[in-house]
Amino acid sequence: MTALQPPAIELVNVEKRFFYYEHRTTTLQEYFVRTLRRQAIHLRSARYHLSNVSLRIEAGEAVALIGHNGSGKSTLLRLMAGIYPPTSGSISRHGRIIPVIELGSTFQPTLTGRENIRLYAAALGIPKHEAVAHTDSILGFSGVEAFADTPLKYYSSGMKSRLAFSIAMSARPDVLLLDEILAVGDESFKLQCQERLKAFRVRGGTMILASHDLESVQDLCQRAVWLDGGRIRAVGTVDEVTRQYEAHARASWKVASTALNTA
Amino acid sequence: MSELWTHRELIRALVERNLTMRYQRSFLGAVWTLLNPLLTGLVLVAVFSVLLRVQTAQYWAFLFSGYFAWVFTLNTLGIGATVVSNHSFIARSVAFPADVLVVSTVISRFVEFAIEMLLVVVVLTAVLHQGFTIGLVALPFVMVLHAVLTAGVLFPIAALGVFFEDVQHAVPVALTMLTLISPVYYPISNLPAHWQPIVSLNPFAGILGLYHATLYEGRLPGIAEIVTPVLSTLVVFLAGRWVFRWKRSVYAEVV
Repeated sequence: MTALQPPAIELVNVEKRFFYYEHRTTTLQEYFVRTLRRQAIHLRSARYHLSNVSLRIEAGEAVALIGHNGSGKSTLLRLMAGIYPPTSGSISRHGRIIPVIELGSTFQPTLTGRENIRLYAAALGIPKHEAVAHTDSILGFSGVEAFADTPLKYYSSGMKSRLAFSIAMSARPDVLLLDEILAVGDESFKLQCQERLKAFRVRGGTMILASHDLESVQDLCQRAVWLDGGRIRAVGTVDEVTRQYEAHARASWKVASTALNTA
Repeated sequence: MSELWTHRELIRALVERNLTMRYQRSFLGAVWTLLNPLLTGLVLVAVFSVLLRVQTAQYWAFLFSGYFAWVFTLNTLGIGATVVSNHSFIARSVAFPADVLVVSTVISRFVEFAIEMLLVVVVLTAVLHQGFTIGLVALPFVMVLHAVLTAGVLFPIAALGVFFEDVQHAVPVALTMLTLISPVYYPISNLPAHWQPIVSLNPFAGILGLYHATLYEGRLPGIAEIVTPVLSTLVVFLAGRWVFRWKRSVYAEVV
């Protein structure tokens, strides 16, 4: 890690706006009728899922994203991966970025495990011969060898997540974007995951991990970003930020439970 | 183009997936690819040569040379509205240009079409021409041009299909109308003279004309016959791709 190395991911003043629809026009017919009548096509209001996010992630860093449900962690990961475009602001990336997002729905239910490995690996840019060569070790690590030729719809959600994680790890990532990967598997898979992620870190890999599992986060990451309502509330060492976050969570829980008791 | 080259592995995997899903799971497998056009061909011959008796000489051969090509367009455009939403599973978890989905759809259908075409060529060479014709040399060029034109029309259909649910119901109606004004069942020369230039505005008319020239007539198409289809294909493709790319970056959010 030298100062000359470009950051793995850098976000400058990034905002992401989504629309909430009171009425959404979903047919061409209605679109034309509304246009002719000079009515608004949609009735919608904009809401910012992320605002004013500036963040620089150096190559080789391990950064945790923490925050409540709906605080914008997954959206931020998707923007980093380039799956969603930012509404404004800029994002620059260096190296091979491999996202492990929306586990479980990444696969086509009617295809077998083997076929899905091929498809997902291709989407991550792995050539066919490499994917084929890695198939057995991917199936092995995911613990689903016996289901290699079973359609994915018969897999449990844990099996699907393990598969997604294994494929991503075999894709030679420089930067891993992980969304709640530790929450889905059983304890043994979690340990295997942590082991592989640590090996990945030792090789100089960059990792951004969104998780509610503060203990694992402290174990795996050095730095943490606390997202609250789409804004960065705190950035700092993982211990510092998780302590603040926990204190806040406990305080808001107290408020909520007092309100519940008095109601 | 370089964008597609970067994602060639994904295109290849999607094509393989499409073909696997269509054929591996069916009882007859790949045999079906050949059996289907063979049976269709027999019915066409029976209906139009024996029952209806159309005036065009060797009408069955005329029909053979354009019909399967047209079915390729119908099949490809017919599923166009759902091309993006059918891949939401992958579009929401990995970043790639959505053009890949359109291109892989066209290629998948094209592979099937090419196999059918092999059968058409064999039958026409053996029965109609009773020998090799120079027209076959130009056939691959015609087929590629045809695929590019089909992709050009598929692009806007796929883009509209992301935002509007009724596109998938409107497409079959539009395709039926397009079939009637395309020289599939009749040569364009059978139309009244003042209609011919109007029907020729349909970019598929020129392409079908090229199939008739190379396969039915067994000759190389003249420059004049090539220029219009090539130009209209380029215009349709570039315009269609432009429309598709206009909102491309938000597809993953919408589907």
